[in-house]
Amino acid sequence: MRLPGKPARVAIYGALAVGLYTVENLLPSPLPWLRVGASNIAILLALYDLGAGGAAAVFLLKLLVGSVLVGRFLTPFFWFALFGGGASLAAMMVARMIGGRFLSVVGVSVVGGVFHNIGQLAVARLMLIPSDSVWLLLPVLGLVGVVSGALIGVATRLVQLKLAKMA
Amino acid sequence: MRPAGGLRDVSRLGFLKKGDIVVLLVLLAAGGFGRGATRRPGAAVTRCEVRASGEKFVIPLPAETTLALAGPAGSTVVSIRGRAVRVVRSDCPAKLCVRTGEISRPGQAIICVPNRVVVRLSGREVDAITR
Repeated sequence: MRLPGKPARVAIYGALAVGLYTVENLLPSPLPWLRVGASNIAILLALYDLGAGGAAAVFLLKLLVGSVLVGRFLTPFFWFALFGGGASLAAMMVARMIGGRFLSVVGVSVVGGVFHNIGQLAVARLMLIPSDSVWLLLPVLGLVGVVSGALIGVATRLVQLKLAKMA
Repeated sequence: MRPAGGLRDVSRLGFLKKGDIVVLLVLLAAGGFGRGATRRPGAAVTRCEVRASGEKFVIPLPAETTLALAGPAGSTVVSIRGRAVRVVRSDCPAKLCVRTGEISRPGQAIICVPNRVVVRLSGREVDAITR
């Protein structure tokens, strides 16, 4: 099968990210801030296929197009998504660079999940709650990040293995 | 070391690598440890709300006191020890309030329906929007 070129693949991963983000926002959730972060599957696929630049492009596409579609552009949610997602992406880039030999996408995704919530807590500390007691939530949110990161990582790994067979 | 990239790059790898398990276990342990370290049991309860015979009053906690509350079924005796509250004796038929035992966390309540007594704990909780 002939693969589409790199710019087209950025667009494909970006569309996947926006689609997953939008659909996940339509699903009911027991807590409004609790999400698995399914769109991270597309960002991880881009990180492994296209490298850091491609992943950053997909993240920005998801952030801008996705938040406009669900009506959160420049709302507080947007800043949480920007800083959570940015911290997560940066951590995953570093984790892949340093730990590439020992880590598969699952471990990288777990690191990303934890840093997503660290980034969001940092925004909460700066913008909403000017008290360091915010960090008391870190253990709980870190555990949430580990679990959702692992789920997303396994899902991404399954897609990667399928894609590698097709490529 | 710069990762190779490309779609085919992953095909020769197994499903999980050792480092994945290490990262997972280390982070889970750190989270569990942090959770234990940041949890302060009972510290959040600051008020005890008591309703009996149409009246409502609030007792700031911690406190050491015993209340005898009168109601249609007789007397209900509530004992407050520090941040823990229990009904020690009641004249109601089923004694569900006594069997509820001790409560010590925000949101918990002891309710005696026949004697119209409600004891509720409340307090500050760590609250934040996290998304």
